[in-house]
Amino acid sequence: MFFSAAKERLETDTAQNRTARFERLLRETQKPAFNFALRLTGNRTEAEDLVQEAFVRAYRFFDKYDDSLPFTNWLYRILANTHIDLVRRKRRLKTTSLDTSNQDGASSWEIADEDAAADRSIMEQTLDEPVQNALRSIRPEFRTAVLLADLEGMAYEEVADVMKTSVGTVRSRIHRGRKQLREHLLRHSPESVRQMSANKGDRNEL
Amino acid sequence: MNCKQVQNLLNAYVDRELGCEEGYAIRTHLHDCSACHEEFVELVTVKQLLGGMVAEDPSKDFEARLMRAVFQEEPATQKSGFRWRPIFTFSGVGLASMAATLAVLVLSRPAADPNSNVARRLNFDSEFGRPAVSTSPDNVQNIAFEIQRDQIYAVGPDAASGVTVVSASHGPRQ
Repeated sequence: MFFSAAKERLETDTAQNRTARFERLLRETQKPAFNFALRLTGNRTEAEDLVQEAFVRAYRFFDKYDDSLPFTNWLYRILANTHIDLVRRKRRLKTTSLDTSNQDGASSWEIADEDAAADRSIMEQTLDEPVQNALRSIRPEFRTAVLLADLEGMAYEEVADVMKTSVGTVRSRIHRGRKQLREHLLRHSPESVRQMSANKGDRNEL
Repeated sequence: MNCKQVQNLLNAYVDRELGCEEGYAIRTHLHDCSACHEEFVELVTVKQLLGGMVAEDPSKDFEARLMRAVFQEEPATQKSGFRWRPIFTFSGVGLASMAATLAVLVLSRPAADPNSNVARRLNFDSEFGRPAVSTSPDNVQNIAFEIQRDQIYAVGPDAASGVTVVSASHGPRQ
């Protein structure tokens, strides 16, 4: 009896520690997580929903979190996966609502145009508009990779760790993503690229 | 290195992810090739535009909302693994409505005998185990249905005796 009471107390202590630890991590990381989600979605409301969903999932699987990885990297992995899930779900909803004849569950959303951003119509507030528009025009996998490298300042190996993929895949995603961003910006707001690059004309800077 | 090779490695070069040798080859090429140099500068600009986006704060009550959302279902307290579940789930409602449709179909058939072929076949074929076995004929007007939990009760006069009977979706208990 004594042992069972002690065991119960220990379990409660561990549970309290776990909660307290997660609470501290949540407070520390919620702002950067929101900022990352904001660039991923381009929309404040969606970003808050995404971060909330990511933290709920993170807490559910907190036992699986490995201390050797920074918490933000683990959280961003969950966040990026959640985002891709949401984009796919939205795309599927959109496709099935447009094509009601497709009742047999065939995955027509898979052949939907990947470049057509699903969340474009729900935009309510834009920020750094040209860049944000360019981001929305590229595939979510490319967007995540480029943002992790350029916004979060991660090395390719770290990006690969977060995205659970190889460095080669990361290199390819960043290459294609940034190339598409450049093309989009040159087409839609060339001044945003040219103004800045005009100051970098001196080749000795390389 | 030709332009195509350089352009394929340009983003990795921008991110300083190349080894000395490749890096040097690209550097040399960029010095001589204005088209590749221009692309390089533009890619650096894109990187800087992304890195320079102004950080925004979430709504003031965001942290509190997060806390509520995360800790509202506290797994640590669920030691026994028991969880309250709503009695009427979506699948439950779906099942009930399917059973109701089945009961209506059965009732609309002219099967007078409880041991008739139709009744037995339905009993045997149904996915629901033992479905409603109703023997009421077509001309019976006053049939009442009641659905409780996963059970459907149909009340109406029996075809043979004329006595009001209650039949349940589970059929007679065995």
